[in-house]
Amino acid sequence: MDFSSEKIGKYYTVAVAGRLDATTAGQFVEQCNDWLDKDETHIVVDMAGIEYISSAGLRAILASAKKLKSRGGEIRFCALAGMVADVFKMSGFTAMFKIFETREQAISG
Amino acid sequence: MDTLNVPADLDNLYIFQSFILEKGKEMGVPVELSPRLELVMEELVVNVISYAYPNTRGKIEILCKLEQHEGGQRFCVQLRDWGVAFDPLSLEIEEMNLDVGERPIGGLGILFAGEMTDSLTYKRENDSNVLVFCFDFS
Repeated sequence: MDFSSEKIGKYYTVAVAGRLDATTAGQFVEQCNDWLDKDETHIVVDMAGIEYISSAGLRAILASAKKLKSRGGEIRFCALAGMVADVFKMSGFTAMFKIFETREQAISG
Repeated sequence: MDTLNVPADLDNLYIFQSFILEKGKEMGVPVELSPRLELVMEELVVNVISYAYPNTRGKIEILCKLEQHEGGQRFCVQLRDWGVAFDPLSLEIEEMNLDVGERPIGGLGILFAGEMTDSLTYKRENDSNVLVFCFDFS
């Protein structure tokens, strides 16, 4: 998986690309630990580059969200499409997290 | 060959997924179903690795076939392992209306497998676990 990040206002925005599955979920958790090490606790994850996600990927996201919340932070998502949007909806993640169409909306919303 | 026999290892996940995508393509399964095929394959393979082979590294056999079903066609994948008896359909679906702090981590895989297939069955047969999942198309 590829991660590229940018600080915009109080939000640390992270564009994630690739497959978020049982073989790569650990990379997402490691990224979250990096954010926390840098005291970045308000995260926007741009999902436009995610082509596939499974329950293992969702577990990594949920585990990260719990860590961020325990530090007073939050995680938001934008640009979900195709099967990624379907899986978020089916799992209740769409209702549980703040989801936006664009990165700009996620930062200002 | 419409059968694949590979060690139950996460490193082989893409081999399992590629195999059923390739067989599906050969058997005329619409490409729109590909994400569902891949997802269900992963969820069930991960379950086998975690629960049927918790301390051992056995094999998984995959068999693909095309059937006629109610005027349309049905693409079925049979997944067999020789691990301890484990029926993933017996797992409880987790509570979904909880917030981030309360929500348990896990339990989504079998929900996806059930929601994304048109048929999902389990049986214990000759000391093996046999899961069959199917997708209907016309």
